[in-house]
Amino acid sequence: MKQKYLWPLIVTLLSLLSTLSSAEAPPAALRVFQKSSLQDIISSLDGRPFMLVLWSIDCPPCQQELALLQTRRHDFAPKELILISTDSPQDAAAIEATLAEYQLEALDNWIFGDDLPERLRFAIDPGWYGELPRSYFYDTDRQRHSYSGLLSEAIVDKWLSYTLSVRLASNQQNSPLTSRSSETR
Amino acid sequence: MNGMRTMRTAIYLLVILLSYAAGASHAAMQHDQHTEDTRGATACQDAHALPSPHCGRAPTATFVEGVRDSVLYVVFSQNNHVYLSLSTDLGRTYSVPTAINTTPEAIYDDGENRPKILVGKDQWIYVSWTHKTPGRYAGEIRFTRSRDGGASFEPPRTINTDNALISHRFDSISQDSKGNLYLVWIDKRAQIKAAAEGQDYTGAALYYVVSHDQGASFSENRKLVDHSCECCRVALAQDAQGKVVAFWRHSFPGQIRDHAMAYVPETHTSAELFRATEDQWHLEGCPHHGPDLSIDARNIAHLAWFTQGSQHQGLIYGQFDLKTRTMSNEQVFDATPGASRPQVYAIGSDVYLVWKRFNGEATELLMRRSNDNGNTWSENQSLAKTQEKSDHPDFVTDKSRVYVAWQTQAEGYLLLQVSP
Repeated sequence: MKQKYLWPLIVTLLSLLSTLSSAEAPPAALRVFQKSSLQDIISSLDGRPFMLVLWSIDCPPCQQELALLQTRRHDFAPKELILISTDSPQDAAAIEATLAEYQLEALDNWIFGDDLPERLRFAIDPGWYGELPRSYFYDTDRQRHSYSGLLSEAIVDKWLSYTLSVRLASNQQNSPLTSRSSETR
Repeated sequence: MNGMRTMRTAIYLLVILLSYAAGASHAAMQHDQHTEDTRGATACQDAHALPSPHCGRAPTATFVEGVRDSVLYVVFSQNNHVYLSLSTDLGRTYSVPTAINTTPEAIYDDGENRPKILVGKDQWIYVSWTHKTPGRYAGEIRFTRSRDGGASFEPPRTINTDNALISHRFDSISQDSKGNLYLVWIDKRAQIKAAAEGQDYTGAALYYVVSHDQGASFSENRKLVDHSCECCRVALAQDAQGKVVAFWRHSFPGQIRDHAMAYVPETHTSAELFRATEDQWHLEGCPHHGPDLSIDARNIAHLAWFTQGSQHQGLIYGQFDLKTRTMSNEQVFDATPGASRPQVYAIGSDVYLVWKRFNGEATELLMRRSNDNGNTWSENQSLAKTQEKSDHPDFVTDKSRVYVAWQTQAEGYLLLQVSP
């Protein structure tokens, strides 16, 4: 009976630890998003689910979306929330200031680097016409869902509960306790 | 050498004097030195190069009719100035540009938010743009005019009078048949007021001013409508009776980002908004993709727009009857991913559509033409192609021909004749 309560406790502690470490991470530099960057992101995530949000300093609803992500920023595991600004590298200072304002500067932040934004948009999704904000949800099977416009709290929270369930399942699989109990069975 | 230069100048002057109207010739005197053809990215990186429509941002053009020929007037933004440059040879060479704002200031100069130029009935040159002020999305609507064919401009004036560092952007300029001048823009004062009162307010508002004295003075700032989209340009055109019509992306209840239309009132009467497109595009976001219109002599508004609604997706053409306020002949003319920036122009029974399409590697400029009021259309015709960045295309017309102007980073500012 006791063991039943132990696991949630460990998981909570683990996620608290990861939260603390992500909160204390130094601000990451803006990385330049190129045609091949999405593939690099996908492979670096190694099957973990992630959410990709495209935004711009010149998009009023994007600010509302950043404000929402600010309230949920500790609920994402490291690297599982990726922000890409579609502005040009010459706007880097304004982008960094905006990210800092919403306390999102420690996330995995990118900026469109190509001279031709259409080329980068096309590399991400030919069916995306550039409307912002634009979000993609990559699940563990690497199926993705797209969403145009401001995300609601409900959409983000539903996604977070999915990623949490993935994390719990993966923690359980990798845990020595689980493997021992399966041995004893 | 000196003799040759004098002779060349004399020939220029002769050509200019022969071809310009009284108004335009004055400017041309100032613009008699022509620049070399400096197109392409490499030429634009030359620090000593003069500003030019090939290298500056968001060039916008109009023809000014001379005695014999039309002179192309191009405004563009470069180094915190709006410049004017003239071409007497259909864009092959341009005059040394003159700075319209002598004091430099930050300028919004992307495809959707660009300097505008209008030649009035009086042959005066009216120019507007949005000055970028400190703060997010903040801007001021700027206006100036030239009474001597572009040789000199008055100091720019700020048109919005609320003295707030908030969003007043996406200016458009037009004139009615009486010669009244209109400036319409997207304004956030209503949104900010609502937020201060704890009210929800979707989108922004359209504001406008009217001048009854050729831009010497303007009416007070008037609200045209509430709840426009926040970052899509506004299209203006004259109807068959010479009244000014606005066409813009609106935020209809439920965050439906379809298009609305309204007559811009000459006097202080409230505007009546009517829905023009029914695409049911639910989007709480920014398409950054405004529509275009051109109204024919029967008062049919030829419309071109982009949507990803549940009813239609892609680039759409439609005919909106301003008398009955009904749409007909609506058709998706390009639903290919990467198709964007449709422009429409109607003249007589001819209707032209131009747009661009990115295929993953290159961007193509496409055109189709109708000679029966937009009922049947030619095949798509490829006008140009570029590998690098490109601006929105636009129609430019002189008294007998229709052109498409398109700035590309690699090839410069192109002026392509599309009428037969």
